[in-house]
This record gives sequence, C-alpha cells and structure tokens, in this order.
Amino acid sequence: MLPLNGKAQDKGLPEAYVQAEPNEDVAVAPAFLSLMAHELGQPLAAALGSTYTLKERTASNELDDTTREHLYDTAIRNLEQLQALLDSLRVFSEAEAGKLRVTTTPIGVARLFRDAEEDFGTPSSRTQVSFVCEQELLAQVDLMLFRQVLTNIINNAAKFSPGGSLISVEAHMSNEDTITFTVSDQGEGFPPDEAERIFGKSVRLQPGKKGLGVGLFVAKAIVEAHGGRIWAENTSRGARFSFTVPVAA
Amino acid sequence: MSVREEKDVVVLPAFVSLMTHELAQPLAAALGSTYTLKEQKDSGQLDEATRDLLCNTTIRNLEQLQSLLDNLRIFSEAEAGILRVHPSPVSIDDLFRDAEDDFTSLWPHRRVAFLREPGLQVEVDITLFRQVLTNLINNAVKFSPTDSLVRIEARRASDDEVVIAVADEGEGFPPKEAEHIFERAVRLHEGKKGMGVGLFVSRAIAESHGGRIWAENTDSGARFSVAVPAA
Repeated sequence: MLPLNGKAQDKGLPEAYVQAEPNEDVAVAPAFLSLMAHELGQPLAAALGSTYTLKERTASNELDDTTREHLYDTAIRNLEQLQALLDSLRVFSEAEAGKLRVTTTPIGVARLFRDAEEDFGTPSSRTQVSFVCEQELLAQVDLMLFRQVLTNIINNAAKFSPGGSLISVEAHMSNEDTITFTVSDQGEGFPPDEAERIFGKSVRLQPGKKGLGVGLFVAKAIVEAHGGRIWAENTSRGARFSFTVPVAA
Repeated sequence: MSVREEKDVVVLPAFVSLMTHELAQPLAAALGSTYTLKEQKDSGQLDEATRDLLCNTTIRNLEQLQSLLDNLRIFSEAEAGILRVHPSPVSIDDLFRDAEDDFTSLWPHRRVAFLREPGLQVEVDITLFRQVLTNLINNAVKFSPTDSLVRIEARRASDDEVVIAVADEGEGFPPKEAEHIFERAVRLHEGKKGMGVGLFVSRAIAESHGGRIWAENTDSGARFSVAVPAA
C-alpha cells in the first residue's frame, strides 16, 4: 500500500478515497483509464445501438421474431462482455492493492468445461475451442475467480489465433495434489524472451490488437492466490499456456 | 490553477476499484431488464407496455453507463493535459430543453425547474459543456431528498459572462470542503454513489473554457455555479 497523505487522512475520508503521494503507478493512470474507457465503450455502444433499434422498431411494429431475437442476443452478448471486462478490472485492482482473497470449494472440471463450452462453443465463433478432460477431476478453486482464468486465457488465445484455427483446452492430474490445465492455440506464438513479461501489467505484444492488457495479469494473480503456477511456452504449432490448481482433498 | 501541478493524485487500484463498482450497478440493471425481455418474449408473456418499460429501463441504465465513461475519458484527457475544447455559440434555451428531456426521462418522479433569462448564448464546446450540466445535475439529485426540488438557473452575470447555477435542497457540505469538492476522488457523503470524478471533470471543463466553477451552501441546500463566456 502506498503511503497516505497525512492531510487527507485528517479529513477522515475512507481509505479507498484517500489521496496519496504521486508514484510511478499513478503516472500510467491517464493512459490506462483512457484505454479502459475505450474498451468499455465499444460493447456499450453496440448494446445501446441494438436496444435503440428494438425500441424504435417495436413502436412502429416493424420487427419480426427472428430480428428481435437477434437484437436481444446482440445486446446481451455485448453487455456480458462489458461485465467480463469489469470483473477483470475488479480483480486487477484487488490484486494491485494486495487484497485479492479466494474462497475455494471442490469444483468438477467437467462442469467448468461445460460452462466454458457454452461461452465459447457458438458455431459463429471465429475460432473453434475444444475441451478435453479424460477423467472426472475435482479442483479446489474459487469458482467465480477461476472461471475468469479460463475465460481470460482462452480469450487471449482466440485473439492471437488465425480465423478457423483450433484452440484446445485440456486438464490432467500432473501429480497427486495438482491439476494442470493447458490452453494451446495455433497462432504465431510469442517472442521467447517475453515468456515472463506477458503476465505483467498492460504489456501488449501486438500493437493494434485490442485489449486492456490486464487479462493475463489477472489470470496470474488468481492462479497464484490459489497457490498455483502459470506459465507460457511456444510449441511447434503455436503458444501454450499452462496453469496449476490444487486437487480437492 | 493547472490540474497537473496539484498533488492530490489518487491511488490507481483504489480508483479503478471505485470505478468498476460504479459501472457495475447500471450494467447489472441493464442486463437484468434485457434478460427479462428475452425470456418473457420466448414465453409470450409480455404486453406492449411492459416491453416498453423494460426497454426504457435498459436504455436509461446504458446511457448512465455512457455518461460515466464520458467522465472517465475526459478525466484521463485532463490528467494527461490533452483536453481540447472547440467552442461555438450555443443557446441556453436549446441546452436547457435537452437537459430537461434527459432529466424527466431519468428521474420521472423528481421535481425540477429550469429557469433562464430569454435569449442567452454561451461560447462553449457543446459536448463538453453538456457533460458539466449532466454532472452538476446528477450531483444535485444524488445528494438531495427524493421529494425536493432541483433548480437550474442561467443568468447573465456581466457583459461577457453567463453563470449557470444548480441548486438542491439537500444537506449541503461542510464549509471548509468548498475548495476540495472539485478535487479528484473526494466524496463527502460516504455511501452515496458517484465516481467522485464528476465534479473534478466539470472543473477541468470549466477552466479549459476560461471559466470558473464554485460551490456554496445556501439556506436550503447546496448550490454549484459555473461561469462561462457569453457568446
């Protein structure tokens, strides 16, 4: 935690609102916040657009069921994307403040994969995602947080994969107390000396690819809060991200 | 006073956390009403009026989200010292008419009065100045009882200045905070929502127009005034 400004403390403001001395983190704030506004603004504009259309066309009775369904789905998809971004930002700020806490319960990997399959398995997706878990595994994880790890790593793979390629997600017991998940893509991989740095804040290897750059940072923070590890390697076909979590006792 | 010289810099994680919290509320509301629209449509249970209501709820919440993001964008531009204004003559009549429409759609049950001398014109960046008005009105609504009146008033203060004041019937603020209210992330009323950047952003906009912004307590509540060049 940063040293608090004494004057601000005297005002009796809650800690979160208290002002601090400038430091390096703060210097990146405007750029980060501007990126954040931009990233959140895109799905919001899309959701608003389809809702306006719904309202106007409903009023003039111009909507058939298929179109209406499509507009609802567009709005919902974009709002859920917005929500996922906010979730990542929340974990980001908690991790930064050293306040990330996990509440773990035994969770079936098959269930995790079924949920993820619903999110990523739509036929219209640019890339295909396959989920393989050969035996029934029980992981000891914080469900809400761990879902974010899967989502962020798969999103990252999707972002750097060519259209029509396959992303494969697998889970196996790597030893008696550890489950290892791997997410492999068929993209270009990353520069070898970046393997550590890609989990840092706001490192974006391909300028022009969109994203806040907090996804991998957040994934790492969550995995480590579970006592696990996360790493990235290049394979002969693309990049592979691996992370471990404890087996449920 | 330049924004860049001050030392009241916010801790980034706390700020981001505050912001995500603020954004999450209208988002959850918008998602909720859209899910309902979709599900009820499938089961054929929605009449026209209910559908319209849900649509309006969604739109209202999304527009609120958009306004929060606009503040965020202006905030980061002001922080980076790259906030640019493009002033042109704007009629107060037009400005108030739009603001009144927004107000009645956002808070149909709140009382509001828009008062102005006829024919006033200001020289402002219309997009940015609308944001000032939105922020001051949001602030007034937030910090006053639901059955009270919000008064928005425009008058010519001198040959070259127009003052717009937003007065509420809330509790006011501690007098010694009058200066600090416009600083980043100061929130005087714990538990009231608001990103704490609305007033800061309003000041940045007012000053970038060569104008001023200030806050006073009145007999009945708080009054926020902004002075900008007359056209």
